[in-house]
Amino acid sequence: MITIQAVYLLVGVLFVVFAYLSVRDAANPRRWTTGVFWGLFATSFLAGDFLGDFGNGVLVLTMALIAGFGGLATGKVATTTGEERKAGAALRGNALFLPALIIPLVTVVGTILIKGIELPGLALGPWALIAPYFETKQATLISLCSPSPVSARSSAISRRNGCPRTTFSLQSRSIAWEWLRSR
Amino acid sequence: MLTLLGVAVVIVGFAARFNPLLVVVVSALVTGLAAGMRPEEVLAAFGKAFNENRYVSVAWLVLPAIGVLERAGLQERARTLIAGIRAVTVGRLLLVYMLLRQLTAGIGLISIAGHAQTVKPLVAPMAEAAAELNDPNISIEEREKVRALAAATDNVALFFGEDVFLAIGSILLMVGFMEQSGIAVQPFELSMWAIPTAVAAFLVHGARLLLRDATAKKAGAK
Repeated sequence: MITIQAVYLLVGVLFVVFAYLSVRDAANPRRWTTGVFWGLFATSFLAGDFLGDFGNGVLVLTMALIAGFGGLATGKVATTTGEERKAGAALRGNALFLPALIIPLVTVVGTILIKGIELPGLALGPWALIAPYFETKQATLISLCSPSPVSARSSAISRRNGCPRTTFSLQSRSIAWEWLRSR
Repeated sequence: MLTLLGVAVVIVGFAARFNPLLVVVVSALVTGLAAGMRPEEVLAAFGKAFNENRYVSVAWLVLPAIGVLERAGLQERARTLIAGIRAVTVGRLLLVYMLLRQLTAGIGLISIAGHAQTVKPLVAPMAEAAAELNDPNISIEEREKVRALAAATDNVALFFGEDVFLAIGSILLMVGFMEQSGIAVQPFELSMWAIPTAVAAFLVHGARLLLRDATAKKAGAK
């Protein structure tokens, strides 16, 4: 059965790669703190359930301190120039949109197949035989992750594009929800 | 009452433009301490919540795929595509995106779009291209504003779309909260009454988008 744990493993491995690439990037003035940040994030995904509450608290506090005091930076990322991108866009045309559209498409189809449809006044069960092999509670997230090709080369680019702030604000929002709900 | 100090910390912290991460952490510490928890208890509670909510960071998995596409020229292609449509403006483009985002979020499809998946690689470059059509000499500041507007449109649409769906965290939170206060409501009733709010949000933000078109047109004509 594919559960959210499998997805966590995948994310953990991705963040290990981020950490490795960060430390190796000599052009990054903060490569060590950046590497430690991603390493801690990876640890959270790979071993979060074994660290204990206090351990996780120390982990998130360290991450927040690193990011909060400007410990995250980017160096030189191997990527294409503006001209190369224009040429690539001209060469590939609208085919470029295909992978970007496959992601939401697989997410929708996966969610429906695994979880079924829940609309006000309409509830349909899972449509497919594959459903028993997935954890239905997190169907959307598992489906979101299934089509994403992960390559070490590309993660360097996305690392540059990524901003941990967004994740953290999302995370704090859901933490607040959890907290309120537990009251 | 002292436990609400954390909220004040968040307001002051964001207003003073401190790093959001630090603000959130300090606010959590203040709230916990004000509630009479020991520092190590606060840290443990924070750690537990962080670990249980890791799933919100799962969307990171999409980034490498988007990175490869951007490297191959996805944003440039999105620009070219938009530049070919005469009727397009920043406001109209974002209005269509907002409608789609609200409708899909309303039926529970929250993860199919977002800042990482759609705004940065597709919507923002398209909006920028539309802005360029109106004003070829657009300034860097104006460009940044258009990007910010694209991101904000996603926020507003998701926020006022997702509550229409039954099984969403905020709906469950409201049901639970009202239950504690002795008011029994069904999730369905709440989500149904999220519809007028969603429509109002569409009208308000939609008007804002179209107003932006009008002001930009005026500025461009000068």
